[in-house]
Amino acid sequence: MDIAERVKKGEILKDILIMDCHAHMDKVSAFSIYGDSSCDGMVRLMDRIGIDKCIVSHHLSIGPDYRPGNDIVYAAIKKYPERILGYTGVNPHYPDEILPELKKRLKQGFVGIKIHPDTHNYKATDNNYHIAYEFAQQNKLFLLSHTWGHDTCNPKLFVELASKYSSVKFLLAHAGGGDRQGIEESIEAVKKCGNIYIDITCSLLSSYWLEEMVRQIGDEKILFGTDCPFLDPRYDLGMVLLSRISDKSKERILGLNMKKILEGGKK
Amino acid sequence: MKYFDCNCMIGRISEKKLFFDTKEDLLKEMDYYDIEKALVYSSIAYQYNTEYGNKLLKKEVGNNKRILPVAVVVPWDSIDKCLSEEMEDFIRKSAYGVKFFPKKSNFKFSKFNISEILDLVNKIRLPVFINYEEIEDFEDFNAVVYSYPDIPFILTWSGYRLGRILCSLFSLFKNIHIDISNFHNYEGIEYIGRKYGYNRFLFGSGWPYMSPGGPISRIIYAGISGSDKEKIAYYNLEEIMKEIIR
Repeated sequence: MDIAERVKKGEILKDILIMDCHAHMDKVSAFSIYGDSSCDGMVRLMDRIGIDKCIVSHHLSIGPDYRPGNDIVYAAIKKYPERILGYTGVNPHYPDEILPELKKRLKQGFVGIKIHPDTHNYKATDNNYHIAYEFAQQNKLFLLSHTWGHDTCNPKLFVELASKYSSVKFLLAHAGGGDRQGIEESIEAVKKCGNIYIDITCSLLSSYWLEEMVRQIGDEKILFGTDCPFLDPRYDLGMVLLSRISDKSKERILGLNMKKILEGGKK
Repeated sequence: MKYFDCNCMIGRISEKKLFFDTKEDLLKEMDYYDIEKALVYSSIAYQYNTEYGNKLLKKEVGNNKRILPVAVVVPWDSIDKCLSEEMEDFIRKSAYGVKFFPKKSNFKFSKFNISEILDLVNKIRLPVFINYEEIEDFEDFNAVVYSYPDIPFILTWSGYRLGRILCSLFSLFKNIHIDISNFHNYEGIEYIGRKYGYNRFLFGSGWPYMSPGGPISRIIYAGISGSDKEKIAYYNLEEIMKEIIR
C-alpha cells in the first residue's frame, strides 16, 4: 500500500521521518490559535499526527522582541531535545545585538537562523542582515527567511545572497508566497543556486504546485513545513501525503532532506 | 471515508492559468481523492455573467449525479426584475445552492439589495454560499442571516483571518456553517466543534485553486470521533441537501 492509501485509511505514518522545518510557538494577536500552542501542546499534536521533530522560531522572535522569544524556544529545546529544535530569531533594527545573540544561541544548541524581512520591514539584502549571513557562513548554518511577493523578501533577492554566502543553506519559506510568480521565482532561485531550498509551508500552496516543483527541480531541494501553531499543521501535511509525487519523493520532502541539512551542520 | 465537497469551481479565470478547469479534470480528481459528490459553480458565472455562466454550467453538468450545480447570482441583471425568469427557473429546478460575490460584482449582501432572491431561496431551502472575504459589512450579513433562520449560510474560503469573528457568528446564529478548505486555525475544528457542534463544518476543497489533500488530512487526523469525522466529510452537507424542497 502506498503512502496515500495508508493515509486515506487513517494511518499515522510512524515509520516515516517527518520533520517540520518551519514552526513557531505560542499565541499571536493577529490570528486565532485555539489549541494549546505551547511546546507541550505542540508535541502532543505532533505525537497524534506523526510529526517527529519541528524547528521553531517564536512568534516574539519574528515580531517585536526576539529576546524573550529565543529564551522560550531554548526552554522548549531543553524540555524536548528529541522533538524541538530552534532557530535563532534576530531583529535587523538592533544590529549591535545580532552577533552576541547568534553566538549565545549557537552555544545553546540552536541549529539555524530565522529572519522575517516582512514583519521587520527590512530588506533581506540590506546591511544589517549581512551580520547574520556572515555568521551563518562561518559556522555553516542554515537560514530560513520568510519570502513573499514584497520588495523586502521576494525569492529573487536570495540568488545574490546565496551566491555570496555559498556555505549557507538558504531556505525560502512559503515558496515566495504561494502564487505563480512567487513559486516560479523560488524554482528559478533553486535552479541557479545549489544552496537554496524551498520550504513549502503555505496555506495557499496546492499539491498541484508541489507536483510541478518536483517536475522542475526534483525532490531534494524541497522541505516540509507547516507554520504550526500559527496554522494547523494537518493541511500542509495532507498536501504532501496525498499528492501524486512518488513515495520516495514524499519521504525526502517530509524529512530526509531536512535530516541531511541538519547532519551537514554537525560536521 | 467518503467526501462531499461543497466548494468547487469549473472553468477558466481571468487572472491566472489554473492547473485544471474542466468537468473531466474534476471527476478525475474526485476519483483520486474519494470525493463522491461535489457542489460546483461556474467561473464564467463568477467572473463574466451569471446567466451565461450558469447556463453553461447546467449544460456541462447535464445529468451527472456526482457534480451538482450551484447558481452564482446577482441582483438586477435586468431593469425589469431582480431575478430573471431564467435564473428563477434554474434556482427552482436545477441548483443545489446559490453563491454570491457581492464585492466582485458590486452589490450589497444586505436585505435591501437581495431579499427578493433570498425569499425564493428560502422557499426552496437552498444553502447560500459566500466567500468570507466577499463580506464587506458583517452587520449587513448578520441582519440577513437573522432574517432567514431556515437558510443554511456557508462561509467558504474561511481562512485563518476569520478566526476571531467565528465564535461571535456561531454564538449568534445556528444556521451558519463554514467550509474547511482553508480553515487553517490551529485546532480550530476540535475546539470550535466541541463548543458549537461539528455540524458547523462542511468538507470543501476550494478546487481547483487548492487541492483536496489538505482538508482531507485535516479530517482524517482530527482529534474527534470517527462519526464526527464522517459528518464533516460527507453527512453534514448531505443533511443540508435533504432539506431542499423541489
